Amino acid sequence: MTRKVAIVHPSYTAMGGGERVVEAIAQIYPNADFFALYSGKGELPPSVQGKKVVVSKLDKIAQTLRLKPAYLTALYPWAIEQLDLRGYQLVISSCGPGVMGVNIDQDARHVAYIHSPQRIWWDQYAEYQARWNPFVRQFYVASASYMRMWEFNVMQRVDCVVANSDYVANRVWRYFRRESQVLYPPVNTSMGFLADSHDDYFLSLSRLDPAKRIDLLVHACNELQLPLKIAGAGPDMDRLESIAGPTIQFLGRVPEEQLPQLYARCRAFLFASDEDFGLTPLEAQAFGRPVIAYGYGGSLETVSTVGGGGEIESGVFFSEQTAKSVIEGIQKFQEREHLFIPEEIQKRAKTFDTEIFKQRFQATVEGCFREKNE
Amino acid sequence: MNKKIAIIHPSFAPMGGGERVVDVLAEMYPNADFFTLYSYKGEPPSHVRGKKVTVSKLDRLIRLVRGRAAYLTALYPWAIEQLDLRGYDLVISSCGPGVMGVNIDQGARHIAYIHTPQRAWWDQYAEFQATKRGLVREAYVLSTSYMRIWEFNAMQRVDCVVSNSNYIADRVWRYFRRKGTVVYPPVNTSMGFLADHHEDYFLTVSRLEENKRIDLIIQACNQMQLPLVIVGVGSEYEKLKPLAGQTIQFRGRVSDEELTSLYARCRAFLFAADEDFGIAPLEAQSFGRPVIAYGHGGSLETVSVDADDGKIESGVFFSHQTVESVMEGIRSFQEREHLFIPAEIQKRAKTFDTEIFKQRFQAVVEECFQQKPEWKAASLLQQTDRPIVSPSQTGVTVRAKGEQ
Repeated sequence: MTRKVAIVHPSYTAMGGGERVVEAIAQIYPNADFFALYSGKGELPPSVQGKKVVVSKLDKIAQTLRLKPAYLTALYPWAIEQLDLRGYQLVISSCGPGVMGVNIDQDARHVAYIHSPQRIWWDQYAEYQARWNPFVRQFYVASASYMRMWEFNVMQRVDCVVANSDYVANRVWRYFRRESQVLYPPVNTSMGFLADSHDDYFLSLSRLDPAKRIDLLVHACNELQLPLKIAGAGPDMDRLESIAGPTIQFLGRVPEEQLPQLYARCRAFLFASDEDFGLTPLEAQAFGRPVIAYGYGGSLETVSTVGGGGEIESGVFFSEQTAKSVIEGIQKFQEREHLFIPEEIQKRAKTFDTEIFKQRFQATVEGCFREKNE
Repeated sequence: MNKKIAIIHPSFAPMGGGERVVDVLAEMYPNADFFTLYSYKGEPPSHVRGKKVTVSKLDRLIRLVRGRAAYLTALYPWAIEQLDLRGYDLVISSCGPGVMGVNIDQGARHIAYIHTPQRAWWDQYAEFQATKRGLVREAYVLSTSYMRIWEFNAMQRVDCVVSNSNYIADRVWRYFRRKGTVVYPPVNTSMGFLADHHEDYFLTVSRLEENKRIDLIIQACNQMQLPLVIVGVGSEYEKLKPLAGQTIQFRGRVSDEELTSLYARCRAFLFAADEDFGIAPLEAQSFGRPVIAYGHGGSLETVSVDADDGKIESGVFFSHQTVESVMEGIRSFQEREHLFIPAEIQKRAKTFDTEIFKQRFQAVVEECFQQKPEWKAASLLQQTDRPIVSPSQTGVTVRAKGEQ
């Protein structure tokens, strides 16, 4: 099979959830060429280094004007549609605002892996709109309106739509009216091991961003007088430190090599965020540790509770994004703590492993070629 | 069912067909909030009074152009997309140009009740275009071109499309490529009664506007020397009055009692308009009176001429919007007049009653919630008796609030 493969992604250097997916896809297709909307700061991930990376014209404009690419939203169609994908038989877009708008050859296939429809244009539009001052807002409103129309339009031309969770598949249907296959993003579960014993602390690992709702975890652990270790840095740090009681410990940014110990020895992992998918709860599970999570969004798929359709119990849910609800979640966990079996939790986490992702992604691609050849 | 419901309507104009639908919806869903594109003069429909009505930002701009909303067509998307519908589980749009373009929550459902695709942008585009000149025309052409793209697009995201007649369902398919359900608008047939006998006059009840083609009815009755009673006021009165011979009577605006009595005692109801639906012919039928109608558009559904297959014959059609054709219609009515059975006609009209509308619309709502987008993980959670969180509670809180 000597298909020419193009991978399109907004920017490869950010190293978030989306970039991990691109990493894994790049490993499947070592001869692929890479296309980006803008270059961004930072290093290319290992699997992209040394490869052909074409950056769209937007990049130069953003650099010249010294603007974040996000401010040039209205130019995304202009930049993306100019990417020259002639000769590529397989185009994989990792979407990403607007990236699915590429023009491809008549006989090529376009597989779009959707991390989420751009939330600030769709489901969180009203919230974001309220943030801007009146002048910027008019600009934002106008360009978002155009982008909604354009993005809906281009989504109709994608051959095979893959969503990173059932939650996102639902959103894809709501806003783009496309059916999608669900393929969970790759999780590196191979670093996971089971510690002989665990310590007393609860763990949170996250960027300290208001949206992650670490504040709820802090309040709950203050109230219950439980030890909580918070790993990660971010803009919410100062505020969180000011509300934290004596049982809360801030670790800041934790070096990669110390993470396994931190995960493996925690009593349970705490997670209050409403995520499209959410990697960290699965990483904790790879170490056999149970998760106490807000029962909404991606967590409904990454964490399994008894009776929730999964045979293995890997955590408990709380039902609202309030401190009271988190407390209830922790109490429920304490009642059920003896029921969790680390080996089982770990086994379940391994079904999300990178290798599984690669196999399934490839199967999806082959399915996409078969389907359209008929 | 304690769903949070939003009802969107372009604007509450003086009681027209669209307002009647919204009024009944307001009665069905007493806790609903209302959203309009621009504000209105006078009172909203009775069941909307006292409710929360949010008016879009377009309103202020429309006042700047002295109420000529059509001048600001190109801003409809801007205004509609900014309506904040977070937290609503069910959004019902009563459409209405552009109204279907609202942004809703991921877990919500959107039902669009389509009175018609905006005719000035779609099926009557060429006509409207021809009435404009110069720069206004260019602005109209450009903005409607954009609106066609935008509206088609927005329509694809509606969950359940409901049309007010088969005629409209067909137009919706033609321009929006969406299929859906037909639910006829609500008609109040409960005031209908059968009079012991009828009188000699023909009746028409209508706003006196050019497209209602009252002129044809007047001329036909002039020529045939038949008595005609015209109820209604409108901008065409000055033109119609001189046309009328001695057998024609203008009654203007009449009281409800007078109207019911006029309906009940007329010989037949005359209707020459090409309507998307047309309520007046059905009102006449609720009094057991037959209808002579232009056989096009909504009348094909509101009036039945086919006595075969056990169907009830409730009127006759004429085939063109010409005086000659109206006269032929009246003649064919005169031949068949003895065949009409008032009790049967009334029975048929009752199938269009407000109560039937409510039942059917509610059925659409239920069905719409059964449909996509189902979210498997969420339904999984539901099975285990755990509290489901409404999407409104889950949005990212940008400005973090201090809990506790």
